[in-house]
Amino acid sequence: MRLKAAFLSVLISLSLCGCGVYKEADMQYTVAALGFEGGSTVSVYAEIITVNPESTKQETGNLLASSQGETVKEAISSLKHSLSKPLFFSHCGLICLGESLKENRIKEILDYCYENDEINHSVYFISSDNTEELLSLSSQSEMATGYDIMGVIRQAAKAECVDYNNRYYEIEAVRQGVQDIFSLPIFKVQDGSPLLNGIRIYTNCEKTVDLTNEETYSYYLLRDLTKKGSIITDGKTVKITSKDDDFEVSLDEKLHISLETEIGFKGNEEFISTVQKQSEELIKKSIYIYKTDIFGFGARIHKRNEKLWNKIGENYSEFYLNSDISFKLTGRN
Amino acid sequence: MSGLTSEYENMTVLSDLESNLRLFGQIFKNDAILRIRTVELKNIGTKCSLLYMDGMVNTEMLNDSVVRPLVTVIAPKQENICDFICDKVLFAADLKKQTVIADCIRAILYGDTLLLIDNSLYALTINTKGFKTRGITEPADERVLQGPREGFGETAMFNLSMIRRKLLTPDLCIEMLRVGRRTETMVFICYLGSLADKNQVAELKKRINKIDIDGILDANYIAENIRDHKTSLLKTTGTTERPDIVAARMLEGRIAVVVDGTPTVLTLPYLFSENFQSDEDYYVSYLVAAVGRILRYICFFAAISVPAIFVALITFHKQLLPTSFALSVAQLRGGVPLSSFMECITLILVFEILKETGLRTPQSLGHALSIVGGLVVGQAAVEARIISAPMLIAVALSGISGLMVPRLKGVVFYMRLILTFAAAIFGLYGYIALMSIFLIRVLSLGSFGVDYTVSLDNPKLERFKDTVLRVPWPMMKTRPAFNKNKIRIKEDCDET
Repeated sequence: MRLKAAFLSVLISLSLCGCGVYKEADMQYTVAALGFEGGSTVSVYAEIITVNPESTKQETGNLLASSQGETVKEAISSLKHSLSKPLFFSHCGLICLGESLKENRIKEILDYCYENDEINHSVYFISSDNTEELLSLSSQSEMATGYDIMGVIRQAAKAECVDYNNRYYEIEAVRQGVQDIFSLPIFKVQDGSPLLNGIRIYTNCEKTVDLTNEETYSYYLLRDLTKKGSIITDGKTVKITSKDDDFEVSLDEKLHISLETEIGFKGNEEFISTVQKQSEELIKKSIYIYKTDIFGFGARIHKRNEKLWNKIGENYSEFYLNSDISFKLTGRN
Repeated sequence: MSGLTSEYENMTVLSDLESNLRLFGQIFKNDAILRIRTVELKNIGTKCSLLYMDGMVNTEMLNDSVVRPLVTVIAPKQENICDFICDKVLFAADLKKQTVIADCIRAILYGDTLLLIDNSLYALTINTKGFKTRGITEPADERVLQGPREGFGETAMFNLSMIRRKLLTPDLCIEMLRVGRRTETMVFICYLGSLADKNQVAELKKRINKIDIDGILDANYIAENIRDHKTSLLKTTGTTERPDIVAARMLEGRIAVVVDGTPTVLTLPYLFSENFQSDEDYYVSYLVAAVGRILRYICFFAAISVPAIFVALITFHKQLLPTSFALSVAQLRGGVPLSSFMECITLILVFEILKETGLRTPQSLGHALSIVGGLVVGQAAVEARIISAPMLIAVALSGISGLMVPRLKGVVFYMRLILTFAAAIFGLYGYIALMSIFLIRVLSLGSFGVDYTVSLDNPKLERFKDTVLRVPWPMMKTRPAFNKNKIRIKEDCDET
């Protein structure tokens, strides 16, 4: 019996070894947000939450630590070596991609996040023109600017009818090659506070276009990513109550994509014509200026009509640039 | 001579009084409280000697019912003097003729008076017991707000009478065994003949007869010797000091073991779910009882798990904590010299010390102790950064939860320590592994041929009627799962 018990204890101990590392809570720095900038060399910014052990009340402060390196890993490693306590990334809620980052750097960052077990898969990704300035802001919630920005995104996603498709697990689909496009909310600093200022669209991790807050709704409508909620156009709030889509595609000499959408709404009726106009503009821009399918129509064709996709899939870019795309928006007030 | 009463099993009373007195004088040569009173019967001149232990007999009764009749009687000639005294002289209700010396010794030692008669091969034992006993009080550990308040005492006969008073049926069987080489303690096995499992009764007798020990001073001596799993943390024999509980368990087909000299009565078989039952559950509304039962299960889980889970979360799995809580822990732990694990173990031990001290000190000092120990020292230790407030809260929560299940206090203490140790080495994985082993162990236990978890291991509603919940009495139509005689007395009455 004793032999069996000893054997069982050893077996359990061996099987559980390496399941985790004992680290005291006060012996680590909690990272609230990470920011990346750079071209040939990469700069990494970590917003660290510091606590005051002398105080009996919860009293936190912010510390923005930064470091540089040839690669993302090098930069982060250098950052770790410059601090007195190890970094703890599991509570990192935000990763900010700077405007200066190129395609390969973004892939490197995504690779790093994938390899680092501590990075939470529901971390928010955002984009900013000046990461350092954004993360240096003093926190409104007395915790961390990163968490403030998360709060802004959550509020917007809850109230508005656009769904900010920017969590890490969604962006990971691009790294894995399942989809080509992702969009990140752009944040800028205004009067000492973070401000949501439209979205930035990335195609295959390459920055493609920035859209304003007003254009965002049209873009998400074309991508079929809207939901019930409210939007503000021309300074007036419109409440979207329902949406029906009809997506048709055919091929003769060129590719014909027809998208008819009917939305139920409450509010300003002019909103329909504004959105119709913005959407048509966006479609034109995507074909003639950006020369890329920023709406993910290809993925929708692939999903709905596989036979057709087999014909056009290999040269989809060419087909898209010569395509005839019609969008008709009707409203039901 | 080794001093054992059993050595005199083969010796019988002699007809010569002087020889008998010499023998008993030899047996009790070192006993200062043995009293011998010799009287001579009028008319025939036959001598009789009374032997008794001072302080153990009712002197008044002895004088009035035994000594006075013997002194005053005018005995007739040519008659069997023993039968004459037995039938026509003594006023005692309980009178026995004895021939074996060992029985006579036992009677004297238990407060009876032995009457030796010259020229008679019989001795008479007269029930003159009169030793002082504690009165009927409410058991301190099994207090109830509603329901009977009486508790057992230290005298087995009184305890048996209390059980008998609850079960006015000739079906109640009481068998006596003597256990303990030197104490020869009386152990009574009580059960309802038509409900108890005969095999279990036989097995119990077998196990009790196997006990070879100098003395039995408490029921726990028996419990530890007859239990199925001698080294298990969980006990597989129930204990109570309340006659109503014994009666209720016997009505479920269980067997009670009453041991002389202790107010604790053993009941068996004992199931895991009984650890979570309170005596009061059956005397208050079933709704109140059900809440209490569920809370006890939750508290048991909290008592053994909270420190372990907390240590695992703040040292291995901080990502599972809400950020503000993780930061709060980090801030409040700042400056604490002990590691979280050592802090936890220290607090658990301090809590146990405070608990034990509170139990052993007089009640008047208990309140002061809990204030000084719990509040003043606790707060001072937190302010001095010797311990952190979150850990103190976790251990205190665990400690208070543990008090909800007093029948499992040993298990709670050990499991709390072991699980904390496992959590500090392997995190939540270690905790889960050890909890799994504990559950497997619980499921593998048995009590007198009955699975320890028989009332919980089958997801039938029937099984939960008196386990996790306590349903209203009209719905409890069947006895516990282990009893083959399923139908409760209520239904039997309906049939008859």
